[in-house]
Amino acid sequence: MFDAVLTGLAYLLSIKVILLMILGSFIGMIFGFLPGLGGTIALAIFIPFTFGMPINMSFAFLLGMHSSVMFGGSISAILFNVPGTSQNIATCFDGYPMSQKGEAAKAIGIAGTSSLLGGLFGALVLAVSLPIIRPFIMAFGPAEFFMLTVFGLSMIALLTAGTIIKGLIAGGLGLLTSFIGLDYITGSPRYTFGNLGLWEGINFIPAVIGLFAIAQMIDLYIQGGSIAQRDIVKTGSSVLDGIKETFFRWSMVLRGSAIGSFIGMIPGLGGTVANILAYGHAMQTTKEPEEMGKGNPDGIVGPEAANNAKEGGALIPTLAFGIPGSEGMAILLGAFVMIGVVPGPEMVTKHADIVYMLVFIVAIGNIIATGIGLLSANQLQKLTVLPGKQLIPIILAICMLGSFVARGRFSDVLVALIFAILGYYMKKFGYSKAAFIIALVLGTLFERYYHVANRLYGSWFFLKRPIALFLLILVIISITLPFVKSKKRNSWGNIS
Amino acid sequence: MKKIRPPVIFISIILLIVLAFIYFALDLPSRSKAVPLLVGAITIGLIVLQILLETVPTLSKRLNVKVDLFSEKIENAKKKQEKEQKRPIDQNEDQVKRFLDIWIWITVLAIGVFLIGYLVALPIFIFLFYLIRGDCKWPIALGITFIFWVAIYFTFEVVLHAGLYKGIITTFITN
Repeated sequence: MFDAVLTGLAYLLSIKVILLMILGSFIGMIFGFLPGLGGTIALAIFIPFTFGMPINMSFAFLLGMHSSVMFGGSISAILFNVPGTSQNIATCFDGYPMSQKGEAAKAIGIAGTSSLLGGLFGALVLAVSLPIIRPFIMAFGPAEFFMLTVFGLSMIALLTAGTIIKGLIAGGLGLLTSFIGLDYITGSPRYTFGNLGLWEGINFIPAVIGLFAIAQMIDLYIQGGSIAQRDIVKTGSSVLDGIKETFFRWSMVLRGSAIGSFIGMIPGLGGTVANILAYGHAMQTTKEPEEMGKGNPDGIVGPEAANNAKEGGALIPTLAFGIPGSEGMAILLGAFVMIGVVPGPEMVTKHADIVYMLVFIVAIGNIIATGIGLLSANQLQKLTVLPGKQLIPIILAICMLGSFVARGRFSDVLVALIFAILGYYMKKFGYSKAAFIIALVLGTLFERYYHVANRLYGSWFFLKRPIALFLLILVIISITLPFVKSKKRNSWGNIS
Repeated sequence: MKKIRPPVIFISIILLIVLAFIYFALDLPSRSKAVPLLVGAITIGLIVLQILLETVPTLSKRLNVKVDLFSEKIENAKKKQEKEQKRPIDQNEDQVKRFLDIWIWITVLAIGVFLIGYLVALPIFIFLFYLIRGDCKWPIALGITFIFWVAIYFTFEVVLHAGLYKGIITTFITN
């Protein structure tokens, strides 16, 4: 095993390979930064360029690029409330408020450091668990997936503290919106009104762009001024504070990373779910719950650690079974086959050196991306003090482009505009956009896994499967715990 | 006649949307409509409750629906925020004007993209916005527009071959 580790590392010890990783990381960050593009598109575009390259060079470039996308996406989420990828959505909730408070550099520092630590954690999990993980992954089926989506949906109740009815209405509307499109079980179209474009449902990217980014630009135009006031930024904290803050919250990093790796290991859930679940966990466990959604660092640390740790986790089923853990991994799987390496159970025994090479690429790719991001954070922060009127046209133009390029349909631009109106008024009247988006993401999965589990195991499937039952207990605990804590705190307050 | 408050109008529109979801679900096969009907019915119940809370102020106190999840800190922070957000009437009117203004810009941009495509509509929008609303001098507006155009052309057309939407007029002319 030790030989395989050394050989894996030796594959990467060449100037050409390192330069390719730096190039890949840089491209990955740009693809992450621009909404609507993301890692999957980056991989699809650049795979042809790696034809004929040796395996170490091609994967240094491709996987290095893929590892950097998340952090790129978090930068636009923090600076402009525009999540670069769907997996950065929760970063908007507290990242953008930090920018408004003049702490954009600190927020980028937090996102970068958490992403790095999460990425390293994911790589470590990949290295350690690959030989032993098979039974664990095989234990997860539709019933367990259903309970995981229920766990995600239960976060809606937590996200809407104080105005729970409004939050639940937003969640209900999000769920109903997620039902638009072809029903996976019966194959019948729902709410499509004969429009073929709606058969695939509402695309997540234009919905998020409209709900968050365009709505935010409208608000910025109406309120006037800039995202952050110049004098606040001058006295605000720097990227170094962000790094320190992350290490100070090491426990949240570990928990977010564990959630991300776990979700990544299970094919079919994806980074958006990891990001949302980690945010929900941060809400439940943070020491400053009243600050969530207003710029609480825990709201960045958990989700960012999770979405990057997910990449290492997603490589596990890809390498161990040949089952891609995410869309990006499906494309990487194609690259493996193209090079002549067939992932599967023999990967660990016959190609252990390649496995460890991939572990090192994930780790080094994250270090490079974080280095680039942190070095540029103080400069990027200056964008937040630009007058809104100078920022708005560029952001609106990028939003229009981002809504279109995700699927190449003009109708998605209209979807973004409709969601922009909804997003603006939701914010104005105090309805949680986070609850809406969580329901929109999880709604389809929730319904699909419910029907499949119901058909496979009967109506009481969540009681028949031990892991599903365990997850149900976790859901109940996670919903009731904050109430119990609050009651306890209040009663202690009354006594004193 | 008593004026209907904007939050009530908003939630009433949401009610109509959810009712539409339920109405159109009725014709679906039973397996397809089960979950949407269930979610729709629950949401309708919540919306009706919210409308009552918005229209009958005493009800909110009586029902005490505020869920005190994380102590009263959240409520205090909200009250503070609401206090900050209260503006004089003339300022609100100005906000309505600004809202309409930005929406005209966005609508014109969307129609422009639909008619003449991204590569023509976006630079025209950026140039005009900087000139009219951004208070920029025209050489600066032109410079920013040119840099942006080169960036999107190079990124999306040359590198990504994304095939940006060309617009119906441009497509008609080129064909």
